Amino acid sequence: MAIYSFWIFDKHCNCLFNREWTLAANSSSGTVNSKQNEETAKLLYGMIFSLRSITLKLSQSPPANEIRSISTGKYRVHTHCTASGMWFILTTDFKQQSYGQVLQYIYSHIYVKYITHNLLAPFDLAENPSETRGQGTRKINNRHFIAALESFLAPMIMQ
Amino acid sequence: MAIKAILVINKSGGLVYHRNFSNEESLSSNDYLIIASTLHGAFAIASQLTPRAVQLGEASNAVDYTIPYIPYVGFPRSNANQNEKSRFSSNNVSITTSLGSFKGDDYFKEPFQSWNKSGIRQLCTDQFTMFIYQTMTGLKFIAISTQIPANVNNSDYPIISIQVADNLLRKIYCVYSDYVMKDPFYSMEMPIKSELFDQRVRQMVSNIA
Amino acid sequence: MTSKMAGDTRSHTNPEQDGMTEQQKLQHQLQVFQNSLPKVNQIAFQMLLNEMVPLAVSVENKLINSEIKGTPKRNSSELEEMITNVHITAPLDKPSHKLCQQLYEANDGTREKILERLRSMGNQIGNKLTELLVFSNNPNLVFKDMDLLSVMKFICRDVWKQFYGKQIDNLKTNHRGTFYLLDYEYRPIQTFALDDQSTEEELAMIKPFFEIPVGLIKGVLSSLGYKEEEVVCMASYIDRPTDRPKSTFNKGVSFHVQVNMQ
Repeated sequence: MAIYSFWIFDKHCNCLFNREWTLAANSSSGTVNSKQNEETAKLLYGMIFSLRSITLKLSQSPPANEIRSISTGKYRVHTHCTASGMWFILTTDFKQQSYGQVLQYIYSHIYVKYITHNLLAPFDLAENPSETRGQGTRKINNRHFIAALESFLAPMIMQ
Repeated sequence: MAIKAILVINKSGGLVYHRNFSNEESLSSNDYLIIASTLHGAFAIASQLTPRAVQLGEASNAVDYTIPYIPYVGFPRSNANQNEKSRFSSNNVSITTSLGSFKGDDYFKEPFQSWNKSGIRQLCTDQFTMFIYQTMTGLKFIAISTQIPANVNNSDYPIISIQVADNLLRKIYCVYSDYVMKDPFYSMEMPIKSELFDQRVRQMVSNIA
Repeated sequence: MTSKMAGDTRSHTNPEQDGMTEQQKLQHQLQVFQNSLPKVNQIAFQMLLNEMVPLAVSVENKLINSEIKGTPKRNSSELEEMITNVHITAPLDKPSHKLCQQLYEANDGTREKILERLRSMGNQIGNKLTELLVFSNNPNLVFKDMDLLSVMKFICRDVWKQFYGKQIDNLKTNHRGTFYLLDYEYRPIQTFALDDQSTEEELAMIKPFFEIPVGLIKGVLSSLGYKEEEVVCMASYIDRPTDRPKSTFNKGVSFHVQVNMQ
């Protein structure tokens, strides 16, 4: 099993979407936008946020020094940060090295297509200031988005 | 893989040693203190984030944390070759003395267990790769190296680089225990001022590139 | 006019074109003219087109507000209130998806007003677009005695192509003034979806987006001599034929046009 979970965070530090797979044998296993993952999402955001502050500080030349992946002995976290402040995050087993292109594809071909171009969905899920700074709980539940994401990632789960 | 910097962080997140090897302008020592404590925090969070699939499957496919021994990491290449030969001949005295109180031609010669099971081991960014080796006592040795190319054909490449880094950092740990722990003027958890330790580390890092 | 002149000089100076038939020359001329036109990105255009719906709702909101507040005499306290409400940058409108939701929940009277506004916008565009498409000397346009069928074909082919980058998929008629223009993949709304699965509400919320093409069709017809009051046009959902490739939005749109000729 190569992919464990997928997360999206917006510029307000809110977790917009999370998908966790729990069984290698079944790509439809696991949870979508689970309440139990709220705490995990906060921890994940916190870890990447603080590591990002380090890497940006240590960066030498003007192009921002973005984190590509963080590896532990058990898993690896791949990140893709967009200029608009979105974070696309994938956790995989620690052997996998580069999922940058996968995340870029999810951003450009799935997120932009089904969320940005959908006029019936908000372009910013935080509706008022009290839902910013990680306090928002609104999630992306768009069925086209979820279906496209599932079918795109399913072949990679059992690698 | 050239080493740009080496940091040592004590078990409570304080920076006890840092040395910058690149001639790029470095940050203030205050910045390094912040970096050390931030890393320490993020390291602890990472162990909380183990994916459910891993937690559930842990019993069935236990990960092997043994790090293979990679010979002569941190030794000059010519010296390493010489050592290869000397292994078959009699013991080379000059080399054994250069390793301080360690006997033999390398600090250790056997695979070892990584104590860093759920914390961060590697952090890849656009510009550099950071490796973290944690000892059983909670001491962290950190190496910042130049960026590893992402598209190396060998899919095992990042794992090998982790292993090389772990070997190097473990040797620095050996040097630490030899020169810092035996320094009668050193008080635990305080910044390392040992000239000999610094010299050894510099020497080892300069042999890496 | 300029394009025609440019085409004329070209046909004299370019020996390669001498072997062309008159029809081919006209085709070529049209191609040159169309290439000379400024182009607009389709995505940007569709986004603007879609924003017309929430815009119409927003306009209605503003009108209602001004009717309530619109007292001609202002006393000093009101003036003060106005001064405190002055912003350097005007406060943003509600986000588009909220306005669409509002339109869905609006009472029939308000909704009809908003839809009428959308239709009239489409109508204006349709009127002008005809001129733009006709004046360019398109050799493919043949209006035989200005009969209704050729006008309808003009809408299906040229107007739709210009507006949505594709033609109408199917045109049905009884030859007595009733037409069905079927678009199985109406482009602007393809990726629209509500979060939950309730498709009834979703379909109802998307329906106002068809008022623009409805107005467009009526506008084109009126500029070609079919008066507003003679034409009835309505949009409704149809099921997509099963042999068509799957699309994100699983309904097609049928534009029912009824022309009552005296």
